[in-house]
Amino acid sequence: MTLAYRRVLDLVLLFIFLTFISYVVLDRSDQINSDRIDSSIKHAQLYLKSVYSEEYLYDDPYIRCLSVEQCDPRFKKIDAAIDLIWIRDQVTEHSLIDYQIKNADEFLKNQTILLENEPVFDQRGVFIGDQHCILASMYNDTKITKEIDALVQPYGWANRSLFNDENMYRKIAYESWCVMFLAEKGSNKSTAIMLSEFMLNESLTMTQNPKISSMAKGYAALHSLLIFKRLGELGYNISYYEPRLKLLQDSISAAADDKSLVGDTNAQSIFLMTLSNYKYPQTTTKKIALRLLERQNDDGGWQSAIDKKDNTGESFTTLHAILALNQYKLAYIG
Amino acid sequence: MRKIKKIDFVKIVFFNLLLIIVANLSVLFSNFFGISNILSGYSGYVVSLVPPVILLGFIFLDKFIEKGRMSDYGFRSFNLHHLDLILYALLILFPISFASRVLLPGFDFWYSDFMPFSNLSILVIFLIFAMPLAVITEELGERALFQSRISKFFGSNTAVYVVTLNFVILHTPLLLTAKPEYQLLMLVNWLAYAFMISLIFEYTKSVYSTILFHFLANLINSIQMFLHVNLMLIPEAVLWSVWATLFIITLRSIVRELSRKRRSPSLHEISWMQKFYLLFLSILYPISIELGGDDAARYTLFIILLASIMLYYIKDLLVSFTKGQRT
Repeated sequence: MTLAYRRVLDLVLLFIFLTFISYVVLDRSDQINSDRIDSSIKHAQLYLKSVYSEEYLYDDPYIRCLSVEQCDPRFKKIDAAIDLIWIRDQVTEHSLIDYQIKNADEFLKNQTILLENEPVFDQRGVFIGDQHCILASMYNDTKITKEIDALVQPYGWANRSLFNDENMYRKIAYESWCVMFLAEKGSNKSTAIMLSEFMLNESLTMTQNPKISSMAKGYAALHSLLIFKRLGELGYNISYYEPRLKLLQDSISAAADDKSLVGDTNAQSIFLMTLSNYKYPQTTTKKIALRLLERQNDDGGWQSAIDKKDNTGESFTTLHAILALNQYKLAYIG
Repeated sequence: MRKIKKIDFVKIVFFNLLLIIVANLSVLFSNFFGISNILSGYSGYVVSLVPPVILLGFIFLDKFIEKGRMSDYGFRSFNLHHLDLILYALLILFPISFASRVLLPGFDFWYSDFMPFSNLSILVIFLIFAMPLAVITEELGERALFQSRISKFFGSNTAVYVVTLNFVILHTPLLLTAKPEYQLLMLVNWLAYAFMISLIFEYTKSVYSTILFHFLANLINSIQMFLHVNLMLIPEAVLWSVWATLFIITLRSIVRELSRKRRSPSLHEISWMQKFYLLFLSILYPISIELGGDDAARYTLFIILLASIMLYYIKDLLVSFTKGQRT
C-alpha cells in the first residue's frame, strides 16, 4: 500500500468517524423528552395563573376586544374556556389551573343555555354556530342538537356563494364543528359523511390553487383533518379517504414553513396539534415543536406573533401551545 | 505610525457614524424594498445597492481630497496567499461554532425567527443577494474607511482590538433581545469572528479578502442553521465533519500562519489622550450611538461632523489660495 493511498484512507476514515460523532452529538442535543415538555407546560400554566381574571378569564387585550371593533368579549371568553376544558381532558397535569377550569366549566354550562336561544346565522346569513355545536356536544344539549339538525342543507349551513375562494376556509372552519357534531349526535349520519367529503374536497381544491394564501389553505386543511379524525374516533371507516387526508397533512406541513406563518405562533401551535394527531413524520412535527419551545417567554407564555411587542392574544396562544405540545408528547413520546 | 492631525480624529468618528447610518438605511431598504421586493422586481435590487454606493462615494471623495491611492483604503489585488489565510481563519473558528451549536442548540431556532432560515427559496435569495450586499456595506465602512485609518495612525495591533470591539458593539441591538445564555453565545462568536476579520485585514490590507471571509463565514453559518432548523441532521453532520476534518489536518499550518509576527508599534508610543480616544472609539462611541442615540441624534451628529470636516477643508483651501495670491 503506497503512502499516499494510506493517507487518503486515513482521511476518509477520519471523516466517517467525525460524521458519526457529529450525528450522535447533534441528535442528542436536539432531543425533546417528556420532562422538557412537562416543564414547558407547567411554566405555561404559571403564566395563565398570573394573567387570570374573574371577569374575562384572562386579562388579555384580545379577549377583552380592546384592539378590534365588532368584537364581543363574551365569545372570546367562550373560546378560551373551551380550550381550558380541552386541557382538562387531554393534559394529565393541570393542577395549577384547576380553579380556572372549574370556573370555565361553570361559565360554559351557563352559556350553553343562553346559546339555545341565539341565532346560528349572522345578519349576512353567514353561519356562526361553531360555538353552539362545540358546547352542545360537550354538555349534551338536545335543543341545540335539534336546531342544528333541522337547519342543515346538502351544502352545509351557509350558502357557498357567500364565500370567495380565499375566505372559503371560514365556512369550513365554522361548519366543521357542526359536521363533527352531526356525525356524533345528529339524526342523519349520511348527511354528516356527505358534508365531510364536501369539506375535504373543498380543502383539497384550495390547496391546489396558487392564488390562495397559505393561511387559508392551512386552516381549511386542519379543520377537514379534524373532522376525519373525529369520524375515525366515532367508529366510521375513513381508510378510503387516507390518500386525500395525506395530501392535506402535506399542505399543513408546507404552510407551517411559509414565511407568512413561521412567525405566527398561534398557527404553528394549531398546525402542530393537527399533524401530531395524525402522527405525521416526526422530522416536520419535531421542527415545529422545537420552534414553539424556543419561543416560550420567560414568564411562561407565548406571544401570538414573534415580532409583536405587546401581549395581545398571549393567553390564547399559550392555551393552544399547551394543547399542541401535549399532543406532540402523546403522539411521539408517549 | 504616521502623524495624526486633528481633522483625522474627526474623520475617523465621522466614517464610523457614516457606517451606522448607512447600515440603518440597509435595514430600512430591506424592510420597504427588501427580500419581498427583490422577488417582485428590478427596482428593489437597484434601491438596495444604495448603501454600498454611498460608502464608495465617500471613499472616492476622501481619496480625492487626501490625494491618496485606492490601496490606502484596502483596494489591493487579491492573491492566493490571501485565500489560504481566509480558509485558515474559517477553519480555526470551528471549535467555537461547534461548541455553540452543541451547548445551546435552541439558539438556531431563536435566531431563525429573525432570519429566513425556514424557507429554502427565501434563504437562497438572501444568500445570493441581501447578505452579500450587507457584507460589502459593512466591510467598506468598517474596513476601507475605518480600520485602514486606525491602522495607519495607531498601528496594526491597536487597530485589530479597536475595530473588533467597535464592530461587535455595532451589532448589539439584536443581542439585547436575546436570553442571557444566547447573549453570551453571540458575544463570544461575534468577538471571535470580528477578531478574525480585523486580523485578516491587517495581514492582507485588502478589503476583498475581508469581504470574501465575511461572506463565506455567513454562508457556512446560514447553511448550518438552515439544516439545523429543518432537522436535516445527516447533511448537518456532514457539514460539521468536513469543517472538523479540515480543521484537524490543517491545524499545524493554521498556528504557524497566525503566529507570524506583524510589525506594529507598541501602546507606549501612543499618548494618553490618544489612548482615551481609542477607548472612546472602540467602546464608548458605538455604545452611545447604537444604544443611547435615536435617529434624530445620529443625524444631528452626522451633520455637525460633516460640517466641521467641510469647514476645515474650505478653510484649508482658502489659506492655500491666499498664500498662492501673495506669492
